[in-house]
Amino acid sequence: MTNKSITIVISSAPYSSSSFREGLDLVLAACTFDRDVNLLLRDNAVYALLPGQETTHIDQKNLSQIMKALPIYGLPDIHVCKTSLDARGIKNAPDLPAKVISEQEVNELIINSHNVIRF
Amino acid sequence: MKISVLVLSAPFDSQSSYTALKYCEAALQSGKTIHRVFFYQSGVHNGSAISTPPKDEVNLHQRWRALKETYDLELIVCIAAAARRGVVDESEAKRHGLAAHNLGEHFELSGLGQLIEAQALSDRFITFGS
Repeated sequence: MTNKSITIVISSAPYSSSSFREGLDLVLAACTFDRDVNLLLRDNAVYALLPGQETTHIDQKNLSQIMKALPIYGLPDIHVCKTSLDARGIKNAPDLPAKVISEQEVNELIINSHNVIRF
Repeated sequence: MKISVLVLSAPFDSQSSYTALKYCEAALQSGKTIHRVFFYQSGVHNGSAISTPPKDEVNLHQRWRALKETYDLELIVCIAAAARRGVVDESEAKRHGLAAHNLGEHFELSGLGQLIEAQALSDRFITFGS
């Protein structure tokens, strides 16, 4: 199997729809099958960086806990769009493996990927 | 040229799954090879044999099955996404003690690995819906 890179872009907010979670599940599957995979959070998905998520109150799994485990699965960095963070007044989350990138770096990441899937 | 398709939306709720079907029909009729159609998120509803639109409206489930009867392509439904949304085959229904099963003939439940593999093996990979 030739190693074709895949970038999964999540632009949906966590918890309000299934998209963030199902995008993350695909990232985990890609890591499990040893694919060359990137994860990019942009737009409302960057809310997932907010600390102190008490998701038991809404009967949901804690997505930031799942994201913390990504390096163990073989994904060292979660790329996060700086423009999206700034527009929402969110600082980087120090306890997540997040790598804040500029719009230009976002474009380069997408252009250099063989496939892009957006959730 | 191997093409794979990802369908994320349910029939009727969104036009995307209909567009996906039309794309596949056109590609196959023009001699292209569609390796796999993978149904994820709400797209799993395309696999339900008991979806019943009015007789004068399109029945996407039947159209997908008809496509499979004419051409060689795989219709794979994500097993986890489907279970959540109430689309199960006989085996899953038995395993979970469910009263019924509804996955249509020619559709197959499988894991996200099949989506990853489709992406890796195909020259073109197209997503319909969100």
